[in-house]
Amino acid sequence: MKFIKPVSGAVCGIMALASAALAGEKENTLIDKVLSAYGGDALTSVRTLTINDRYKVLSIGQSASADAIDIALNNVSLTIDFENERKSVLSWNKGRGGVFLNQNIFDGEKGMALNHILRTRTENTNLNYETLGGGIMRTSDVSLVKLLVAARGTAVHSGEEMYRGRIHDKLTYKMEGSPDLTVFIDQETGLLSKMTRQNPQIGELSYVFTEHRRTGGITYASDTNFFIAGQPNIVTVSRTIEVNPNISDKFEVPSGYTAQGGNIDTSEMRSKELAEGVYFSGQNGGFSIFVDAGDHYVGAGGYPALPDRLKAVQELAGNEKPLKDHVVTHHHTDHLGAMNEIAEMGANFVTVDAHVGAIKDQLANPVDDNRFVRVNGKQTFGNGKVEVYDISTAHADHYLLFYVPRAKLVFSADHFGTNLETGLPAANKNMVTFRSAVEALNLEIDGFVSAHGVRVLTMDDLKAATDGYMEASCPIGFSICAS
Amino acid sequence: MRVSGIKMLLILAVLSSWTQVACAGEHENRIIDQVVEAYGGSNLLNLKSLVLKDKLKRFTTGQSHSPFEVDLSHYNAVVNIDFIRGRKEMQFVGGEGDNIYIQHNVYDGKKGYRINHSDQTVSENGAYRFATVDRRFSLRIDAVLAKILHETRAGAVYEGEVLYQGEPKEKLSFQAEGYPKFTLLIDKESGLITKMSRAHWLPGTEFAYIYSRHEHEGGITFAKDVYVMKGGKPETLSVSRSLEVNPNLDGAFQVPTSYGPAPRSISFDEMSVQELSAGVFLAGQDWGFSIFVDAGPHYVAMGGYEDLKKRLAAVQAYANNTKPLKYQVVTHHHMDHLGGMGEAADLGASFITVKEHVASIRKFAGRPIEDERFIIVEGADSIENGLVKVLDFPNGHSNHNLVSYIPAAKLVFTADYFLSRQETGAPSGHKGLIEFQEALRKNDFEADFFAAAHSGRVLTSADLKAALNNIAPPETCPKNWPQCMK
Repeated sequence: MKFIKPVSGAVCGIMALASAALAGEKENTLIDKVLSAYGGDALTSVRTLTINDRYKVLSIGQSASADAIDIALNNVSLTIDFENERKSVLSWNKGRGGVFLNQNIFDGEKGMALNHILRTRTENTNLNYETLGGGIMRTSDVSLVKLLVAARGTAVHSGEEMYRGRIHDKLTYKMEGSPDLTVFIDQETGLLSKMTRQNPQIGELSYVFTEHRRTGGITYASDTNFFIAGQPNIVTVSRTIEVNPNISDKFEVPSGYTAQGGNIDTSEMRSKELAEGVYFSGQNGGFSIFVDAGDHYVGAGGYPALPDRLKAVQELAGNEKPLKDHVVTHHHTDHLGAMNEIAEMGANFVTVDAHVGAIKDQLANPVDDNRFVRVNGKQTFGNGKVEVYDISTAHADHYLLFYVPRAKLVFSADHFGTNLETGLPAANKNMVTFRSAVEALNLEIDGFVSAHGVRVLTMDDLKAATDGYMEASCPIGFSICAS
Repeated sequence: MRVSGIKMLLILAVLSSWTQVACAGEHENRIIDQVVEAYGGSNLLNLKSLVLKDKLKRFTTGQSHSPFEVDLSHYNAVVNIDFIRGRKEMQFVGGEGDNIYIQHNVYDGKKGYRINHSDQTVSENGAYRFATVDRRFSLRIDAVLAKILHETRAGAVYEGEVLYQGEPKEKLSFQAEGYPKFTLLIDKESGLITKMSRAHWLPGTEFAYIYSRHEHEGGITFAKDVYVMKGGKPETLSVSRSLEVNPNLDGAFQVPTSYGPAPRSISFDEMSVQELSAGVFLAGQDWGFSIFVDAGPHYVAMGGYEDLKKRLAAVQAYANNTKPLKYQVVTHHHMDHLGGMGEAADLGASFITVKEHVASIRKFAGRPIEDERFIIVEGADSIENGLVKVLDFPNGHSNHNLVSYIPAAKLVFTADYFLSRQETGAPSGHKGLIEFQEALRKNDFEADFFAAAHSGRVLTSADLKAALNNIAPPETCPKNWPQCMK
C-alpha cells in the first residue's frame, strides 16, 4: 500500500502534465487557425492600421424618457502605429445633447486631448498606448486577434458551445486594463463570431461579429454589435479598415489650439457650507447637496457613496441629523447609484411617477410604496426650505429641480456644472433647454451646483455660456462628420 | 341675382371644402399647412411618385437565438409608390450574410400579389392593399405621413402642446382609410414631424417612429434617419436611405407572367381537433396548434401559442372528458410560442423546459409561478414513464429547443422546425434537417409522423425523406435588385 500512493501521485502528476501539454497544444492550434483565417503574415506584419466605424449608440439608462431608448450617432476612427506604439482616436458624436468632435492622441511619449470644435487642447497623463482606444479595439475582431496572438501564453480553452446553430471553440485570454476576454471561434472557419467579458457591476458584455470581409490581405468583420447584459448598446452602421495606411498626420496637434485651463482636483472628499444650513459635498464625479431642515436633512444627488457625503456634511455641521427626504433628480442610471443606500438610510425617495419603476429596478430589496414621494409639478420640503420643480429638458423629460429659496441656489445635477478652474463649460442643448425651463419658473437664482462639478456657477454664467447657442457644424477638413 | 349652374357648383365646392377645413379646426389647419409647407408645399401636394431605398437594422427582441441576447438582422427594401394610380411595390431582402430571405409584393391598384422568385410562383393576396402591401415601409417616410395628413385633414384632432426632449411640439392625431390611427409630434418652429406613434397589436404597446436628420430631395423634405421603437425598445434603425422624387416608374408593378401559381394552402380559420392515434390529439387554428396526450387522469401538452385554454377545451369536448392539463412542454423561448404560458399557469400545469428559458416563461406568464412547477430538462428526459420523451435539440433557430416524441403514436412535435401549410406535397428541406434526422436516430425516436405549432397538417417520414432529398439552396437575390448589393 505504501508503494501505491506515490505511484498514484506520480501518475496523477504525469496525467496533469500531459493534460496541460495537450491543452497548450489545443490552444496553440486554435490560435494558429484563427491567425490564418485573419490573414496570417499579413496580420502579424501589419505596421499601421486604421479602423473607421460609424455606430449608432442606444442610450440605455441615459435617455430623455425612462420609457424609451434614445439613439446617438458616433463616428470613430482609431489609428494604431504598431512600430512606434502610437495611437489616435478621433470621434464625432451627435445626440440629443448636441454635437462633439474630439480626439485623444498618445504620440509615443505623452497623451493629448483635443476639442476640435472649441479648438482647445489639454495634456492628459492618463492616456497611454495600452489602454487608449481599448473600447474600439474590443469591438474589432482584427484587434482582438492581434491581442490574442500577443497574449498567446495566457490563452485557455474553455470548451465548445453551440452559438447560432454553429459549433464554436471558446478561448479565454488576458487584455491589459480589461477583465479577461473570451472569444467564440467558429470551428469551421476559424473566424471570431463573438467575444464576451464580465463587468462586475453591469453583467456580461458581448461583442458579436458578422459580415466578414477581406482587405489588404486581412479579414475583418464589417458588422459588430455590442450588447450590455444582452441588450444592444452599440450597433454598427458601417465599418472599414485600412491596412498599412499613411499615418503621418494622425498624431499632430493642430496649431492655434488654446490650452484649456486646469481642472480642480476632486480626488479627495470635499464638503462646504454654501449658505447657512446649505451644504455641498462629494468627490471625483459625484456630489450632493444637503439642506438642514431642523431635525433632518433634505438632499439631492444620487451617485454612489451618498452616506460618505452625508457623513462629511454631518462632520462639518457638527451634528448627526438623518437624511429624511432625498430628491432623485432624474432616472439616469449613474444618478441612481445610491438608491440602495437611500433605502438603507430610511430616507424617502422624492421623485416623479414616471421614474418610480427605474428606481425600483435598482433596489435589491422591496421598499414600501409610501416611501416614494411623487412630485406633481411642484412640492416643498423641509418646511419650505427646499422647493422641488418638475421641469423638462433635452436631457430628461422629467427633471426635479432642487431649489433653495433662502440661498437662491439650484442643484442642476447634469445640466450646468464644471470642474474647470476658470472659464465656463461649453454649451450644449441640455444646458440651453435647462435655461429655458429655469427662466420660465421665474425664480431668483444666484448660484448653481451640480452632481459632477465642484465649482459654484452663477445665473450670469449660464446666460454667458448659452447666449447665441447654435448647434456646431463640422469644422473644415474633418471628413469623419460626413454621414 | 341669377347664379349659373357652373357657378353654383363652384360655390358648393368651395363651401364644401371650407366646411371640411372648418371641421378640422382652425388650429389643426394652421398646423397642417405648416407641415405641408415644411415638406415641400406644392411639391408635396403634386407628388406623383416616389422610390424609397431603405437599409436598416432590425432588433429581433423575443425571437432571438438566445433569450439572453437580442439578434440583429439587415432589412433592405426598395419601395415604389405611384400616387396617381394608387399602386405600390415592395422588394425586400432580410437576413444576415448569405442567409437571406426575399419578399416581393405588388399592389397594382386593384389587386395584391406576392411573387416568389425562388419557386417562380405568384399568389394573389386579398390582404394586400395600397396601405399594407409594403410592410408599412412607407410610414418610415415622414413626407408620406405629411401627405396623408393633408389628404385626411378633416379628421385631424389637435391634442395640445407638449415638450419633447425640452423642445415644444404640437401634438396631432388622425386616421386615414386603411391605416391605423397616427399621433404626430410636430416641431413648433420648423413644422417637421419629430415623432409618429401608432398602436401595436399587443394591448398597451405602441410603435414610436423618430424622424431626424432632415434633407431635401426633388423639392421634398424627408428624414434621412428613422428610428423605430416597439414598446419603448428598439425595433429598427436606419443604416442608409434615399428618396427619388417623381421618378419614371415604367416597368414597376409588374407581375411575372411566366411564373406559375403558388401551391394551395390549407385554411385553418376554424378550430379543429384530430385524434392522431388513441389519446393523442392535435388541436388548433390559424397559426397556433398543440398536441395533447392523454396520460390517464390528465393531459401532457406541447405547443404554447396563446389560446391554449381554447385548444384544451376543444380536445376535452372531442374526447368527452374534463381531464386537466398537468404538464406543458415549452418548446423554446420565442415570444409567439410563450403566448399561452399565462393560460398554462392558470390551468395549474407544470412547465417542462430548459433552465435557460425559465425567466422568459415567467415573464410571458405575467403572474407568479412557484419554482416547483418548473421541471428542468438537461439534454433529454421522459414524462409519465416514457409516454412522452423530450430532447433538447439546439439548432440555428434557437440555442435550446425541446423536441417531443410520443412513442405510441410514432409522432414528433417540433414547433417550428419541420412543417407545411400546403394542401399537398412535402416542404423543401434545409440543412438543419440533416442534424435533426441524426438527433432522432441517436435518441431512438422512430418517428413516422411530424406535427408542429404552426400547422394542422401532419407530415410523414416520407415527407421528411423527400425534404432531405430536396434541400433548397440558399435564397439568392433577383437580378438587378440594388438592395442586395453589399
